[in-house]
Amino acid sequence: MSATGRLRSDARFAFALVTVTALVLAFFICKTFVDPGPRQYALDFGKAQWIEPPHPGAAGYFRETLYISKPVVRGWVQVAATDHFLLYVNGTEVNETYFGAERVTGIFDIRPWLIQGKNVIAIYAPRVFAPGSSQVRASGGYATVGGKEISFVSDGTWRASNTPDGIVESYQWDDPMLDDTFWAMARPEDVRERFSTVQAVEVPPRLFASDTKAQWICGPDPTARNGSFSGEFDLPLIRGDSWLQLAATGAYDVLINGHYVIWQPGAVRTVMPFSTATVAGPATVSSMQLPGLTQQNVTATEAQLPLQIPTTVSVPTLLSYDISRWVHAGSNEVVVRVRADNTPALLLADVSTATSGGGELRAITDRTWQALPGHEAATELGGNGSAPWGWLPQAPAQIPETPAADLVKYGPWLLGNLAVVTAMLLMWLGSARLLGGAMGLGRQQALVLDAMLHVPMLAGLLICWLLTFDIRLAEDWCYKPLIIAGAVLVLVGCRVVAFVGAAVSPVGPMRPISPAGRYLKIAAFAVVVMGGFCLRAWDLNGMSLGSDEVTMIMNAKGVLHSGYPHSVRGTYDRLLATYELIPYSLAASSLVFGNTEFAYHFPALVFATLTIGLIGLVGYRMFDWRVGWIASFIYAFFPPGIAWARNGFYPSQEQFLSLITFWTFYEAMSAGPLKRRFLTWSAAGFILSYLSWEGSGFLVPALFVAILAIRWGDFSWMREWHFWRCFFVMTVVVLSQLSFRQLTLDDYLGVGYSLSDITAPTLVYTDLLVYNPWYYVHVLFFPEVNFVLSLFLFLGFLFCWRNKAIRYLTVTLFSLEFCYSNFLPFYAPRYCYNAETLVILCGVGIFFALRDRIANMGGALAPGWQRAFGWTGAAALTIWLLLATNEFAVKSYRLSPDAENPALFARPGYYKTDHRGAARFVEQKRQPGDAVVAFMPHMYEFYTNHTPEYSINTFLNEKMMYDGGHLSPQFIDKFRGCPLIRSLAELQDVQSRYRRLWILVPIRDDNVALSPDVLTYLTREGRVAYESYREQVVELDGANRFSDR
Amino acid sequence: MDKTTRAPRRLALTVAWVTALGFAGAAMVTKWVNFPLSKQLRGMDFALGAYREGPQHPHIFSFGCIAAALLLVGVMAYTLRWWRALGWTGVLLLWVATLAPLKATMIDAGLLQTLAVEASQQQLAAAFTQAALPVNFGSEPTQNSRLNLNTVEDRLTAAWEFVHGGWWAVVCGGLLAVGYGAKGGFERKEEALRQAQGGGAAMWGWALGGAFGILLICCIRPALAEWDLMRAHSAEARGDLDGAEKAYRRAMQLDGWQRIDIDNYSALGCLDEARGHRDTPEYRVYHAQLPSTQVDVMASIEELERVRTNDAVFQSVVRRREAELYTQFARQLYGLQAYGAAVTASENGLERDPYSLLAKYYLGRDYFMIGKYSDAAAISMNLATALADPTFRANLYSDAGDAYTRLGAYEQAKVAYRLSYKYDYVLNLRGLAALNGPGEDLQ
Repeated sequence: MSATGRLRSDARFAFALVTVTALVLAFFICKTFVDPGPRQYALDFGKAQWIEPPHPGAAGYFRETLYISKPVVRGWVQVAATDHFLLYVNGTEVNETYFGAERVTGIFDIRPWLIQGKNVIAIYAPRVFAPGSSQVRASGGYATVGGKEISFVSDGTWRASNTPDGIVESYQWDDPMLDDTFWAMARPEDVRERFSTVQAVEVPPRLFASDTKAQWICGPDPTARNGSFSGEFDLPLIRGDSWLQLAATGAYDVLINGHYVIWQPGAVRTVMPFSTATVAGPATVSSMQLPGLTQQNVTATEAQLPLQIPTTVSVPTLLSYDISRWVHAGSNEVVVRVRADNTPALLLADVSTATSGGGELRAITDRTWQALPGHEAATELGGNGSAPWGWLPQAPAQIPETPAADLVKYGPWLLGNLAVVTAMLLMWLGSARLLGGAMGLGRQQALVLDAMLHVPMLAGLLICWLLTFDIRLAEDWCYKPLIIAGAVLVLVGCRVVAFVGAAVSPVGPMRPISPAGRYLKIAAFAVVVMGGFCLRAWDLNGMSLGSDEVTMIMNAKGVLHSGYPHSVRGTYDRLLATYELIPYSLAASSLVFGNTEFAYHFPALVFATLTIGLIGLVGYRMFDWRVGWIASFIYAFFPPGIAWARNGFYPSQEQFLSLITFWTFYEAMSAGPLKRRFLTWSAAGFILSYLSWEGSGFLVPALFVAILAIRWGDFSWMREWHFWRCFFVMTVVVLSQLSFRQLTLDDYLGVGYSLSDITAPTLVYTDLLVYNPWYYVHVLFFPEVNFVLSLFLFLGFLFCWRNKAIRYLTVTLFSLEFCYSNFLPFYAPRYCYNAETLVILCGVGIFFALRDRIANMGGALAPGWQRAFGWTGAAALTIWLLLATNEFAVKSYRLSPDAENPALFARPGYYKTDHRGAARFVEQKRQPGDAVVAFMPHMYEFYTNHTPEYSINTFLNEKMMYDGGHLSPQFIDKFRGCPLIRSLAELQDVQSRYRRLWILVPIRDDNVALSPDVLTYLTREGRVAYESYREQVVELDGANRFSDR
Repeated sequence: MDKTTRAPRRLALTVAWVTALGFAGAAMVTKWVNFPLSKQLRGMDFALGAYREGPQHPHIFSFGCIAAALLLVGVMAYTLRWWRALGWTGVLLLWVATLAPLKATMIDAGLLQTLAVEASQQQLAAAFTQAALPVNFGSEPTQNSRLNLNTVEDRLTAAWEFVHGGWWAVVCGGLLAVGYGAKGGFERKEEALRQAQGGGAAMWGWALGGAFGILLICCIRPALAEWDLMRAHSAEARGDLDGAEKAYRRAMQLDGWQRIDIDNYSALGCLDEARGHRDTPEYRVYHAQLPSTQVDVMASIEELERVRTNDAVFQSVVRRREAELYTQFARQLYGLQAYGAAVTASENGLERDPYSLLAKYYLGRDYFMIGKYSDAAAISMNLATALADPTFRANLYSDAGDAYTRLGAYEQAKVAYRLSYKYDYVLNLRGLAALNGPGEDLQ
């Protein structure tokens, strides 16, 4: 490209760079001033301690008993727990909160559930992520009529257990009537977190800790079903947030200072616990009841208790709204329109504003409010606590959209963006003119040089943005005027430095930067590979083997026994017709290391470590050593890569082999005539990859599309005989395997559906039951760790289309995912695991194309200071990329589309079902006359060397086989071939034949095995003897249980 | 053209024709809008004119036919190397693709209503299944989350969610055509290439700018209507009842979707009540819509039946609401085990809205409960054949299987249960247990 052309191209890029920077700054400004997200409030737990069950474990059950002598007027509790908690008050579930791998929190109004007498607050905290025990921290308080606030905190006086220790056929573990003195005391434990992962809540705790003094008010006509009310209040200039708490007898609209801000299209009511539904339906108040309401002193004891309201099943809810955006210093006006049904329009409202001294300003509904349109004074009917509803339950509001909410929201965003972009472009043009004048440069060159000055600010803002997704920081920590001022100062500072630099550093040719030495690069790669190996090898056997792994192990034993993979299920000898290669590597490893977990994890560890090196090599060959090293570095810390390296199933092996296929095929066809040696390697890689997992078959169409995209217009490769020879061999292998699979499919005797029923690609589009074209977009491209890479991928691939390597990777990747989405009628995160390497390579490749463009703007004529800016900015962007792709550094969990519940292994620490712990527990406890019933009997057999007596699946969601080879033909499970329990009647039948049953069942939704009737039966009749990650052991007494007692 | 370029050219033409014909076929035959329950709406049935409820038929002026014709024009242009024509055909295809979902959610209120009603009926049917039938314990995998259509943003989101394969085929075809047209396709001659590429940027500009323009034009009236609704609420809150009424009526005039929204008539009725006018049709709607009135659904229906107005749209809104209330009433009666009365209520609902899938679903089960097994099997089988939603279909086939079993027609029952399992093979305890059942002897 000529110098002029280069300069023009740079100027266009400079324009794009400044525009992007302006958009990022505009985003920060809008998030700070125009549309801030929900406020964040850190919870203060005071003296509350983190507590855990007596034996550190994955499940924790906690109980605290409160004895309350009088009726309760206020009660609240705030809870923090590891991963997941369910809060119960007096046996009623109040809340469930879940967010994987962080300490989740919540604050709740529990007054409706508290009664005079004995109360129990119970918390169940099952862990989903490892390591560490289930832990809980809680504090709360309550106040009684005329009494003081009494607080309670979690500490060593709480009761705790690893299992739900209720009484069989009687009180459950969370029941207030249960005598928990046989429970152990909870263990207070310090939390060793350098940076706390305890989350903030979105509602101010002060609203729960104090009562509103607001009055119920009505208009001049106490029977009117519709009414508008208006009130005014003053606010100081320096103040904190403002919250409106509001309850009404009907639907309502709220205007604050003329802005229409809240729309509740229906009456918001809470169904009270302990109350009985009546034929009359929801609670209402008629005009006949008004005289009772107007008595100021009806807040007597009896009127306050939900139990004492015979005909009320629900009461108005006091909802809290953040109205800080719409209030201002000085006088403010609130207008509320209430549209009740067949009740009078009544209103109770309270505006709470935090003051600078830590205090609180309150503005409440009372007789100073006016009824509109006549401006008559409102009538006070009684305070919160008045009959017939008593003290109102309190909750944060989910604000329904007001009409035109989108226009109100996006209008300011649009204007803000336009204003910032325009201002910044004008500043750029002006500054470039000055700079050009000072340095004697042409207009385009000055524009390019000035654009470089934006890069440090852009990098800084992007790093701040990334950190808002880190769970250790508040979501809005950087949307502050100070940060924006800092960003602007950085830009101004850069310009000052530029002008000063222009005076001292004349324009001159760029000095070449010496490339790093070969040995240094090799050492850098070696360090990354070794580091990745150590990360993967550490705690290699920490997690129990899974069902798929043990199935492969059973087949590996078949290899050792007979020379081919097979396993016995009931009276069948089942030939393995999928993942055929996996058992061979497992068998080889077990020959060396024996029948141990390590032996079965070792092949995956080796393949995963090799993949770290290979991805570096591929990056080096397709791009340059920087792309290779960064890709290798990202992959070394890649959470799914680490997790699958500790898993004996196929993904690590298949990923390694498919990466070989991608790379060698590129080498073979990227330029000139096809290279036969690479083609042969590519075909071999494909065949091995295909025999590791048949889904790799889609590599063929993907690679065909890729070669068309790379060599469009040049079809000489079609005349290459070796190409078709390789293709023929691959086709023969695929067709043979598919035929073998079809022939060995024992579907004729099987009932139900399983993955083995998928024998060939199908048009998933026609099957609406499973079709989900966006599945892999969510699971592959936009989980937290891939998010930024995918941003580069989607925004950059068209701009880098001329780069052959990027085009090849992108086309292969998109074609592959298109095939998986549309031709494979089952979706799973592991199915796109082979494409993860493509995402990394492609994302890093595009990033470096952009980075080099920034670093080299201005070309050889750039002055020294500009090169410094260029390289510093580029380095900062590289750091940003590394931070965004490394969850050991930045826990950017909030970036995922499904942040609370990430896809399998997408986040470090995910623990699958703990079959090992459950099996070993049962083996220790079982006695002669007992029987074991396991949903996955092969797991039990692997860990104990004993075959369970039965399998169970009353949900009928797993395939079952009809086994006619038994003495009495029957259905057997698909895993091990044990007799299968398929209903409650069958379970009871089995129960009657044994002294005791040990039932091992999964407990999470994604692994359901038991139908509700059986679950209910086990909950009532059984006792949970052991619980760990996603697995429970239920002990069920047999027929002679009563005589034994 | 020399020998070295002829073969690739032939191959490229073959690929282009195969692709274009594939896309054209897909544009005609596959769905552009994926209705939650029924098998609508294929490209050739998706007429440019107003949507009419009921069975859809191919139409020459349909989005599918127009798109297919454009695709054929495009591939002809490609064959003849009329790059500019190819590019402009692509531009038109992209405009058609932009217009289609906007018609469904911004322009054609009847179509949007059918979408909304089906989404709502899907939820109600799932709730009925969970509460009243031997359930499969699974959630409905194909079920849309609750459909919100209050704002322009919501409606644009819905437009995106409901587009289906035919639409995607047209978008891909349009992008390819513009891309090729803008780039000069297969042209190797420098001069022709330069000429073609000269107009390329402009072509992309027209494609994207035009699509954006269509979007703006389609959204402007709904957006203005939204703004008026906000003003109406604000005026009402301030006690300016006349201002509120004007704003409501203007919103309904601007946007057909607001015009068929019964909540707006109810809001007008609420204003009438505040002014003491209790004899207006709007007040009757308002009163009928009150939860306290709906405690007695028949009272609510009677109130609606008394609505008399010359406004045909208003009258049809009221009739549809009556049908919904009858169906709701049938559900309540089923819960109270008054199956005979439930049959009558469902039939009344169907009389007012013959296309109500929910009323038919309830009716099938109601017939079963009163012992009219033949009718139950017939209505369930007919309805199942007309539906696309696999879970709903599977439940209907299981219902039919139950009815055939009671009739002693075990072969037909088995076929019905097998069909049930065919359409829902993931969590279909009911169908599977009926086919296969847990055994008696287990040793």
